[in-house]
Amino acid sequence: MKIFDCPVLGPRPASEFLCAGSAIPGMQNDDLAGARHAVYFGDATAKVKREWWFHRASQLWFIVSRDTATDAVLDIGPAAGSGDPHVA
Amino acid sequence: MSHRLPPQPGEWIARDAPLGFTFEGKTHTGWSGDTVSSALLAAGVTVLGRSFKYHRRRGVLSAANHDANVLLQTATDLNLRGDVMPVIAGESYTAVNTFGGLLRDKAQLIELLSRLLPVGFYYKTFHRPRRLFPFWERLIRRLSGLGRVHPGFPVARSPSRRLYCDCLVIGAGPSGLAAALRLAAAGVKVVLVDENAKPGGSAAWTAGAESWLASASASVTGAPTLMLVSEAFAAGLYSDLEVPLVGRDGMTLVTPRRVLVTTGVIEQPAVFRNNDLPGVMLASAAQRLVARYAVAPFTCGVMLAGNQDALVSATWLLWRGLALEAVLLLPGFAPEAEPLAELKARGVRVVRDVTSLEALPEQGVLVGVRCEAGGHEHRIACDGLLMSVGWAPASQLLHQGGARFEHAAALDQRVPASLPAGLHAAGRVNGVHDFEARLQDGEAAADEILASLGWPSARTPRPDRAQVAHSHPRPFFAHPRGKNFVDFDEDIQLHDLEVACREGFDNVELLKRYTTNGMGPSQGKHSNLNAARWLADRQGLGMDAVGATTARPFYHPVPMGALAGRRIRPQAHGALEVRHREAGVVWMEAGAWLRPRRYADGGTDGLAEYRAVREAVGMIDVSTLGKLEIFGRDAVRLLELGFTGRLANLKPGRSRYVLMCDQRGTLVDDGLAARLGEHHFYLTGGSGHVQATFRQLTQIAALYDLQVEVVDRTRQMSALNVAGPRARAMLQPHTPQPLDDQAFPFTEVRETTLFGLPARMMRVGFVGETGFEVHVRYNDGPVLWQALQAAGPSLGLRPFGVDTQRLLRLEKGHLIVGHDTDGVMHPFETPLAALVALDKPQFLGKAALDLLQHQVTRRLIGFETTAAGAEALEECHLILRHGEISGRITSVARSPVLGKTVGLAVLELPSGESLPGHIEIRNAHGQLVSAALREGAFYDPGNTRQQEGAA
Repeated sequence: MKIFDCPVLGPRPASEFLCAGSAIPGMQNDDLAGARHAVYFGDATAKVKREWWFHRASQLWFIVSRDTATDAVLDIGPAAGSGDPHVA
Repeated sequence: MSHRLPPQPGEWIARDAPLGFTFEGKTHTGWSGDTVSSALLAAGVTVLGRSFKYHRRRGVLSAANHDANVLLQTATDLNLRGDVMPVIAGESYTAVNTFGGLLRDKAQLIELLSRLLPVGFYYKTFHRPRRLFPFWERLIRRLSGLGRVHPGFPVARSPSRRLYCDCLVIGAGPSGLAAALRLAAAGVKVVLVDENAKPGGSAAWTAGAESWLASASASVTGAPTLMLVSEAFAAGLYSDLEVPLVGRDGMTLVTPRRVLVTTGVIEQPAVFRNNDLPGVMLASAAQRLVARYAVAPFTCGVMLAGNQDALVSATWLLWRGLALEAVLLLPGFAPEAEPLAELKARGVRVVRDVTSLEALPEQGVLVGVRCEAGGHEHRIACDGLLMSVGWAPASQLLHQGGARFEHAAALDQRVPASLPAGLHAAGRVNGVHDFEARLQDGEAAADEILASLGWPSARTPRPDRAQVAHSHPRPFFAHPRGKNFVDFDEDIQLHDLEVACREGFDNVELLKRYTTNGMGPSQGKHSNLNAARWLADRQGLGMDAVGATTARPFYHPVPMGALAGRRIRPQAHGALEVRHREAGVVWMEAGAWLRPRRYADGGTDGLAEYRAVREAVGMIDVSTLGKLEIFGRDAVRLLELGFTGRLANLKPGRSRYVLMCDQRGTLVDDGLAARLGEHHFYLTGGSGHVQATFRQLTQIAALYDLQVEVVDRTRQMSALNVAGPRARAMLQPHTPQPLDDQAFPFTEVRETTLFGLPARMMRVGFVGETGFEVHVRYNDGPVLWQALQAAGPSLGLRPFGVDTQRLLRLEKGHLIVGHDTDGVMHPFETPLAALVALDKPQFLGKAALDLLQHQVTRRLIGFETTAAGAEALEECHLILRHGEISGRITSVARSPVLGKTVGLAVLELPSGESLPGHIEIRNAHGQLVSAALREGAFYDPGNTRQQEGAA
């Protein structure tokens, strides 16, 4: 995972990015009970996840599909307009 | 007498550049290109070190950094490996771990006790009786250990570098060189690393390879995409193929797309009595010394042969002019007839099926060998005994990368059975031994890598692995009087392995730990395989069943300095740095920033800055405030989503105090949001948190797909806060903007000019007096400061620092996020609960805050006291209730204007009980200080001074 093959920035070392995990759990959920569940009971199973990563130098957000079991990056793309992948 | 040979083809020494140095106080001369060991051997010095435990004399074993026999100390460094350390002109070397010098080491008497010191002796003996343990510990610590660290060593910090490439080839032997050249020829960016000073590896002592090596070395220099890193080793292989290369000038972290491991094999010693005498060495060590340094390590040699390579080496050494007296064949080893006949023809005796063997010492140095074969005893005088009995693959990096190995019976060597994606192996570590086949294996690996990278490539087939054993399965000779060493670092003998097994430690990992076999500085490079072979033989198991110890990083010891790198601590200075220095600043660190703590001229009681603000006018540099400017149609929406309060109803020209929480409801930042226009905000916040706030806001903007731009202006703007009863009088003459309460009320913001400079002015009240925060362009900051200083003296203007600012704000009861709050404090625990608008549909942290509003189990609250002991109160002093800890002070100060001690404290209220009127705080002297709790500001509770702006 040490190199992100970014469609916007080209190949960049992972150390230039910060991982923010799954967006902001529950923020867009108007049902407070559901939102709270998202905050306090995040899904910690190892699997392919869509995560928010911030590129420090360009100050851009990206959505990264990453298999957290193998640490393999499957896809990376700009975050703007993509919505929260965790909200169905 | 010099042991230097006539010039050898491809030798590394420069015979026109002599270097003088001393070893153990005696002066010697070597050539440029020599290592310390090679120069000493050339001068006839064979005793180069003392062993760790018994202080036995030791000499060169591998000449390749695979053992730690020759460890040296200089005035500035320690534990230098003499076998590979280039000799430096004028340097003074001593051997480590001696008492009274190398040749008269008093600690050698320990060897007389060696029969009383079996493995486990220390574990079993020295813990009883308990009171004697410190004595034994001191004694043992003094006797053990390697070099001595001197506090006066110069501090040498080396840089850490990063390197990216398509392929990293580790090991520049025949297969590595062949592979790297093929990759480079295709145009791939290749890094080729080798721990030696020059590439080539064993090609340098392979008959017939001289011209290939010369042309390959020249091609390396000429290849534009090939970078050769010499005298550096790959310390480990980490996830995603990251490999740190460690050289004498520091560490380089390489991130390649592919890794090719061509690390070859490490020659293994035989185990027999006195196999550690100076003069007993690996056959490859002798070849290294001859080929690289033109040093003859002996005048009369004997070869102990357990594999075909022994005969090849013997022939090569004869051809290079060395004298061999005999070849001793290990039992069961049946060499090919032809090379044996050739050796015989050149006068070398051949002794077959040697059943017992010992090296004979005189004054601790090899003088001969005694062996038995076919019922006859042979005694052969010699000053060199060469061991060629087998090889261990240098497979540590492959193991670390996740490769699986299995034992190839025909070859009698572990070979890779499967390799993870991106990791490749070639050459002898891959079980390919013949020279031509190794070149082909390297090229085939290069073709595989090219294809996997999507480059055009040929499809060179992999050669077959060697089908003839290059290692002897049982290179051991028991001896009733022992001293048959398995591990040279730790003086582990065959007997020690037997004792460990008898005591139940008969698994390869347990054996290692109980005996410490393989745990010395060379990490088992010459001992792990022999221990495993011995265990397999004892237990009647196959090599795969016995297994191998885990090969963890680092491959060689890595100096702490290389790991630390350079100590880089970024430090941010604002535009006003020079002005602060002129004013006699005392700095403090605030995150990366340097901020003025106070100025030297604080008056006799140190309160001049404080009094200026309360009684006249003061100014403070607040340029380190986080400053964000937000534009766009959705600007107000973004702020409503990011902060807890309501901003939609904020009128342009006004500002509002705002809080940011994280998703768990923890208060993470506060600031002022000023609305400059319908779709235009200016936001100031905590100095250290601005980048996180920026990230959070831009993430929300992306999440909600908002039409908004957030610009971090922290380092584009300078800012000063001018505060005090005379602040208005001070500024009014210099701005067209009327500053009275009607034209410019508290909390409002104006864009105007001050001293002719474009200025964004905000009326603020942090310190509790009439205050104007003036934001100007970065470079205008010093100009503004100077203009204010020129205009201010008649009004009593003084610059004030952070210490004074903190006291002023504490008198107003203002908390500082991250100082008075902690990592889990939410607004409902603070006086700021009213700033959370839970009726907003969505905002960051709402889900948690909605829950937390009903779960307040502690409160951040003000306290004041004049009780005895109050002057000794400090931050983090504890609040006691009924003898139990129930909170702590977060800020405390003596208020000059109020004449009492005021502060903020976190008070635990576990069952939601109401606040008590008083608390008891224990100060550092153990006194209990009673304090009254108080909500709101201590000074000017009605806020009339900052809002009305008196005088």
